[in-house]
Amino acid sequence: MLSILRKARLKDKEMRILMLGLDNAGKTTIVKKIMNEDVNSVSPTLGFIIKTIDYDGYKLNIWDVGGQKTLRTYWKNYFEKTDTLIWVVDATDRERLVDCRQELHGLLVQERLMGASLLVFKNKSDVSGCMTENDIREGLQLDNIQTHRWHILPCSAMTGQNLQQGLAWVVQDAKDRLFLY
Amino acid sequence: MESPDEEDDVKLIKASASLLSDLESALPLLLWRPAATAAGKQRVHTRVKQRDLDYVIKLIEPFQGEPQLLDARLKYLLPPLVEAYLAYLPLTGGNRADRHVDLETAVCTILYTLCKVRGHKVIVRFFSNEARYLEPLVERLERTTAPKCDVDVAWQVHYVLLLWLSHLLLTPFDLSSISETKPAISQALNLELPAELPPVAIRCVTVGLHHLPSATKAQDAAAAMLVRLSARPDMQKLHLGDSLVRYAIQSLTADGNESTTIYQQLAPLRFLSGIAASSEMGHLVPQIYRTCLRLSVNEGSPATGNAVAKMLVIKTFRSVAILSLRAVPAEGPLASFLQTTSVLEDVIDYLLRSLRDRDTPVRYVAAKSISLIVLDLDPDMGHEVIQAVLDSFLEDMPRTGGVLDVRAADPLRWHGQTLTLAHSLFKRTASPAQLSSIINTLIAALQFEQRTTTGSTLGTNVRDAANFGIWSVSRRYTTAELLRVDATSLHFSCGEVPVLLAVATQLILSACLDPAGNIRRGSSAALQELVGRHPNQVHEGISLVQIVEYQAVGLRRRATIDVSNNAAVLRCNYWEALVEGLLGWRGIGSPDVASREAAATSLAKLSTIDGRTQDVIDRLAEHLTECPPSEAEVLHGLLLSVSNALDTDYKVSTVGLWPLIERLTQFLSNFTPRILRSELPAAAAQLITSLCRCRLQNGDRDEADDQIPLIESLVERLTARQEESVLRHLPALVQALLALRREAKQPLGAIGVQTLCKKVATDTSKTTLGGAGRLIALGALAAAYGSGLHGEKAETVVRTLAAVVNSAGVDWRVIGVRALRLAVQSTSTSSTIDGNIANTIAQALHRGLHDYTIDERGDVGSLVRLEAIAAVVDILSSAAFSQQAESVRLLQSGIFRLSLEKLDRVRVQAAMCRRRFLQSREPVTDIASVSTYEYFCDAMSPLLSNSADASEQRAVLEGCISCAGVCAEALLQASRAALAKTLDAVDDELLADHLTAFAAVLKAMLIARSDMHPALELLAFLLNMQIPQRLADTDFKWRGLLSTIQKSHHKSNDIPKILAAVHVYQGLADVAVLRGDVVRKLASMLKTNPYPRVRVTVAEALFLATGYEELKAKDWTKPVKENADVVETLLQKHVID
Repeated sequence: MLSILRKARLKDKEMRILMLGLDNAGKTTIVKKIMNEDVNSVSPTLGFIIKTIDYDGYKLNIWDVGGQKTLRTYWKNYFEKTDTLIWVVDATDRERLVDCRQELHGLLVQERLMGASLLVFKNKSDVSGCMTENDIREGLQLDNIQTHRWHILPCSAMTGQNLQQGLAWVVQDAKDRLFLY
Repeated sequence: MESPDEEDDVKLIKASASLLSDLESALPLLLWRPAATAAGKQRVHTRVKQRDLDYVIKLIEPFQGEPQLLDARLKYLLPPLVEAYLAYLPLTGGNRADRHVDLETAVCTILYTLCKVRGHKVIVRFFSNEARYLEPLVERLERTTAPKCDVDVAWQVHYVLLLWLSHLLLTPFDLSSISETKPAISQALNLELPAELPPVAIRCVTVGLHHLPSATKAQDAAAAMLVRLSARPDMQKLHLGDSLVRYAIQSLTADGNESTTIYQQLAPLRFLSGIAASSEMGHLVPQIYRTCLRLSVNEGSPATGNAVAKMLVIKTFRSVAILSLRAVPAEGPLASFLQTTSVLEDVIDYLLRSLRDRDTPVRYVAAKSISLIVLDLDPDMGHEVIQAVLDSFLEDMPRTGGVLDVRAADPLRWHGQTLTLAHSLFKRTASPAQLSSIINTLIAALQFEQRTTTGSTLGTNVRDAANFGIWSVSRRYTTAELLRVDATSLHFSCGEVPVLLAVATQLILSACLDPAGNIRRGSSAALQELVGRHPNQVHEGISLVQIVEYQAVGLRRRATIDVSNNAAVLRCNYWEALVEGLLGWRGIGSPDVASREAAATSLAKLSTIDGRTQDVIDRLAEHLTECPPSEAEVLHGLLLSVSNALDTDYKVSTVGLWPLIERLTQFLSNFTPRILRSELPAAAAQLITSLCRCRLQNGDRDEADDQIPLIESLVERLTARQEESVLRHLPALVQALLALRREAKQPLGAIGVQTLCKKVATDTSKTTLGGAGRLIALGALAAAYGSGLHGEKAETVVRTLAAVVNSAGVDWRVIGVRALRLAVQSTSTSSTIDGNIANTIAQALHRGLHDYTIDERGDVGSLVRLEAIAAVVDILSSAAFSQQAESVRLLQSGIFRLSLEKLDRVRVQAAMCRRRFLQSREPVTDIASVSTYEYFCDAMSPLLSNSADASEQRAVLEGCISCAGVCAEALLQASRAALAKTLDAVDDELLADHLTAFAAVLKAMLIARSDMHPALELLAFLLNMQIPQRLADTDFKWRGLLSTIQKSHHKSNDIPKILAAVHVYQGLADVAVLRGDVVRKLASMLKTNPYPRVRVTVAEALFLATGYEELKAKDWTKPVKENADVVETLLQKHVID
């Protein structure tokens, strides 16, 4: 049964994407913006929501997981495992950058996430005085990551900046790794 | 039931990087020769070592489970293979037969393995598509398949070449323009080919038809190639397909030739199925359909028996139906075929019937085909098809009430049908209006289970499919659509509304309670999807998802107890559902004891939530009254649950429960194997114990006391048993009964001292263990008759038990020691013990510690020793014994000895005991930790001290004989090294003490006639290490030792023992006072010993002792007389002076 499902997923070009990050990083807002929903009515996500986005012929199942919750529940399940991680950073939150780094690196050593690629969204880039891409890169020590393919993009959930580019990277990465036909 | 291989994929991902890099470095070595010149082109190997090939294959195979991991590297792996093959192609010809494989086979085997792992469609894309290779490939195929080809060509070669050929046939050039060469070998084909067919095409057809009936994967490739060829525009013009189809149909409808193999019968089917699937040749579809239809109704044809044939027929039908349906809007040629015949109805009917096929792959294909056809049907018809599937579920389900009863259902059909629903939900082909019935059915399927008469269960696949269906429903349908579903029409849920909550509740049950690990995990995943896709619909959904998660439900026990309880706390209705679920087949109705125990524990724990113990007990009691006595397993679960629930709160009202006692006598009226296997008696014992305790805590006096005679007769029956499960619960039972009787001021009856002791005496003289329970009861009550272990009654008990440790049967001795252990445990509350009783116990246990009985089962004495060690642990931790120094010392020395025993499991227990109560530094965790040099040094440390107790030191020496005498090599090395180091560290005076003690041990062994071989080996080793020789000039009683050694092998026929003795003599020859005697003894052995091997060793020992050269020259395996003169001269020369 599982192998049949796996094949079906490949054929339908379905992917499972975990959207993670500290609380108040703007994960839900990003999802809503991509889905063209109203972004002004977002309250803290209590748990998680699954949304499907069609992008370039791919079905991206985005698991938006609340920032404060224990995460390991969501890494893998019977039907599917995680293909891509999207790590959302609040570019205005300098104080918690260390927390953010520890969380991220703690996540990357998890065996169940080994096959997944990592996209770091530097959110709230439209706010003036926010951290630059290099600040984040150094702050999160991204260059030390050897175990996963990764990419960083500045974005803004409010203006929609770079969100589509982010999905494009996710899909391109998947094309390289997962779907040859 | 658990899934230990869960981490396989993680392991593979970890290993994949190194596997891939190994693969990439191994391939060039395998394919190419080392570059001869810098400028020269690389040349391919012509032959490859089998080992290198196997190595490469082994690197690829692991990716079978996760083939996508290969994808990123395929573009580096495949081109060299293809290139090497093309370079090799002109070179083929040499047919040297040796153990290497030629490059062609090697490359094709690797390519085949890649096709198998990753799928041929992906791999084929890397094959060269230059049309100029078409002809050489055909030629190569012809050559390797020609009848006069004298070497066996691996089928992988044919498979890969045919695949490649079909890839090349995609070339847009006309085939006639590619080559004009006529077939080199013109084979007579018994089919009419179009006249203008280009020669290359003829050759392709020839090789294709040749391989079509093969029994390997080459058949698939050949069929695919022929289909591809027929579908080419230039070939379509020539109607090649028509003639091939005609040929295939002919061979299918030809009268069954007995000699044809199943593969020959499958061949045309496979080809036809391919033609039907390719949309270009629609005009051929009707005749293909009619042929298959005839086959499918024809008894005895492969299409009704063989699974592969059935799958091919189903696939063909599916293609026919879908092609015809798609032709309608386009007004294609098939449109009229569809409209004028009943093709669609017949196909769907056939597929529906195939859903109950006994071959799983057939059901899979049929289910998927239906969902695909529905996709192309107009909505009304699709609705009807799904409805047909739904309706047939109800056929074999009784519609009485809302209770699910699938005992009469056909599990195969349920599987096929559930799968169909799941697939159509996955593709969103089922209309939202039908969701209500579909979800109702899925919920029923999620609880589907049947037990066969042999005890195995059926239906896991049905539940798996149901999980898939629910997962798909959550994924593909919107919250609004699902909210519109009328939940009141759900018959098989727990009355929850709305529907999402009802489904979630069922998923909780399945994730917590299902016996199969993948079902629990599947339900947990489906629950995630349900909660995540439809936020705010499931009560406490997010907490639920975190509780009922992938990891937590992995182990059944944890899922049943912990996960259930955590989920039940969230909401009253979850609690309700879980309690009812635990009362069903997934809980106390489980076929195995462990699961029922888990269910009972879980129920008891659930009953404490919001203090609903009484509620749970009432439900259990209700079930008990309805349960027939024949259901031993369910009864076990129920009784255990009641007992566990009572144990959580003895204050609960037991009014309705006392009449149960009467039913217990009915259940236990005879102990059939099934009853014993179900552990029903043990559960009964636990229940009575709990009831008695309740009675002592609260006051249902009248009702309870009426039942005492019944309880007593039950106890009497139970104490007559010997099964471990019963014995485990007897102590608590008899203690509770005793307390009850005391309170009621009644005589003790069946559990009185005299009654029990008398019976024990007669029981233990028998060989069977019947009545072992009475011994256990005596042990458990030893201290309760009087006050602690004092007085006459206690002494009688202990003496009776101690006598059992002397009995003939080893099993009785084990039980005896165990009963004594219970007696010791029963003193835990008192701080004193009668000296005589203590001594009796200690003596009995001492005997137990020395039990070295060996029978045909092996070292059965070790069972007694192990039990005795456990008893010693209890004694050492009991306050009462602390004043009995002498008894304790006796037992301690036993522990010192056994902590050096060679048998691992005994040593480890003794070492744990020593670690806990006696000074010891080394931590004891497992067998490995008690097998090290450091451990042995520590265990031998009493030998280092001048002040240590002599009996303790002697015990250590005795232990050394076990571990450093004869045993496994690793143990021997560690223990001997430790012993040598220990004895090196002591001064001569202490060494003399030890050696004297050792000599005494030897003498004692001689008197006890125990096996002295290990002791002699140990002594020989010590002498070899020159340790005893340190005392050569002291007044140590050397002659006494020598005399013991001589007696030890007197007239023995145990050659290893004699050899060990000879080695001892060899060492003793170093001692001046013994030298003469030893040489004389050895010389006499050389003259008289009947065993050649012994004489050879003796001669060696003598040579080492005397240096007499003549000894070397003789062959001592010859008869004694021939060498007698040498011995004489030796004696004269070396003993006289």
